[in-house]
Parts: sequence; C-alpha cells; structure tokens
Amino acid sequence: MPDSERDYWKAWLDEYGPKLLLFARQFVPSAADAEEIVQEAFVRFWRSGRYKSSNPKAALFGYVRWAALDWLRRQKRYERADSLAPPASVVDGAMFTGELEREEFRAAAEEAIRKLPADQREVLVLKIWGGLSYPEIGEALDISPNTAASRFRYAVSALRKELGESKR
Amino acid sequence: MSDDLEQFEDALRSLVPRPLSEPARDAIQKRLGRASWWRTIRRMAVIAAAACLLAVIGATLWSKYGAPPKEEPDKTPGTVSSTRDRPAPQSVPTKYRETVYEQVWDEGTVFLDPTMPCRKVRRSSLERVSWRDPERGVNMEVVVPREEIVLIGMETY
Repeated sequence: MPDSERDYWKAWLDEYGPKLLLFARQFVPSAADAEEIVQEAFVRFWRSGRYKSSNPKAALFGYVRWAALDWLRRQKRYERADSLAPPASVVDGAMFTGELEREEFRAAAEEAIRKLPADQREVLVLKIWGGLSYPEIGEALDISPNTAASRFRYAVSALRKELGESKR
Repeated sequence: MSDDLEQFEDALRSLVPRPLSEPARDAIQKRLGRASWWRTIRRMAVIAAAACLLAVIGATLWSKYGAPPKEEPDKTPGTVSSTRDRPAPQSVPTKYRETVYEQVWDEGTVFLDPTMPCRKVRRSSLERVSWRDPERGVNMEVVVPREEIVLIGMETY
C-alpha cells in the first residue's frame, strides 16, 4: 500500500477533526472526554472502510454520535454502580478558537449554544460547522431532512434571541 | 432566507472549532498504524491459506482426472512397442563374471632403492562380464582386459 493511501486518514482528520470534536462536545462538556469519543469514533469509522461509501461525511458524524451516546451510557452505569465514582464531567476549555477582539462574541455564543436543547444543538453544529446538508444531517442523526431543517430554524432563532444583535 | 439570517449564520461560521490536541492525534495514529500492520498480516495469511487450498484442490483434481491414462501393452502379434512406453523392469538382471584368460610372469628382482629388493610379477588377464535380464530377454556383455604389476618385498640377509 503506498504511503499516500496509508496516510489518507490524516487528511480526513485534519479536515474533520475540529468539527468532530465540536460535535462530540455537544454530548459531553469536557474537552478531554470529547477527544476520547472522537478517537474511538474515528478509529472505528476508518477500520470499517465507510470513508469509501457514497456519503462518508454523514457516516463519520454518525459514528461520533454513536460513540458519544455509548460513552454516556457507560458513564451512567459507572456512576450507578459505584458511589465513589468520579464526579460527572465538568465544562472545561472553549469550544472555539479565534481572534481576541471576538472573544466576547465567542463566549456568548458558546453559552447560548449550551442552553439550546440537545437535538437542536446537534443539527446546528452539523449544519454550521460540519458543513452537512439537511439530507446528510438526517442520515447522520437518523431523522428526516425536514425535521433537521425545522430543528435548525428553531436553533438559529433561539440563538439570535439569546445573543441579540448587539453581540455580533 | 433573509440577509439578516445569512449574516447571523456567517457570524457563527466565523467561530473556528478547536482542533484536536496532539496527544489525541498521536493516539489515533498509533491505533490506525497498528491496524494497518495487522491488516497486512491478516491479508497475507488469507492469501497463503487460499493458495494452500487451491494447491490441495488442484492436486486432488490432477490425481483424479489429470494424470495420463496407463497404456495397455500392445498385444498384436508382430508389433513392437517402443521401450520408452514400457514400464521400468521390476527384475534385477543376473550378473555373470568369467575369466577368459590369465597369465603371470615373474620378471625377476628389481630394486626400489639400493637396500630394498623386490620380486616383480606381471599379471595379465582377460575378463568377461555379462548381464542377463530373463524377463525382457536382454543380454549385455563387456570384455575387460587387465594387466597389473605386483612387487613383492624380499628379505635381505
């Protein structure tokens, strides 16, 4: 196998790594936990060979969602089983990077996004930062494209209300 | 979609998601690197197993259908089949050795060195060796002339 083909996954990780991490953080607030989820999902996705499928982007985000939900299930079992379990993940680290002059907007946007319902957050991230179309979002989240579009409209409307024109 | 909404979405897009940390990338590289190595070994094992299976099937089919049929010896009187088609003889030819002629001459005393006298004897013979294969009725005969000189050491007083 030539090196270029063997390292093909690196190009994928360069392009989608930050987007996957942001998506994973919609399920778990800790950056470290989100990275663990992305690792697991990406390795599984790559080993499955789904990157050769007709719609690999949707499949990749679908893997991250599956890994995140699995992580949450395991976490709940762990916390139930052991009263001495470590405390649930706390919010750490910013979701976004950027220029310092936009720091206020960044912090406000993160806060507003966290307040959104989970199903709207998923669609918002996939649409705005993931670059997925509604049919692709529908495939990744196992919902219809219309539902995805509807959730996106609600999310944007709520964000605008929360942020207000002055914070842009 | 209104311009305001597009502007708002563009403002959101301007926020850049945080990249994966280096340890996370290294962990992925480690796992996928090991996976590709393991996949290569597994692929080679599958190819080897397939080759073995094909060899076994091929050998089985060859022994069953592919081997040339054994020819029956031609029983027609007056015809001679070539020896190439014949099976190798199972019997061992009989060997017979016969000395036809032998003579010995005493050629007197010779000295290998001044203190070592020897008697020189010349022995000449003709030997005939023959083989016979009674199964195929084949005879082979070889006549071998031999001559040898024997030096016999002598006691000195």
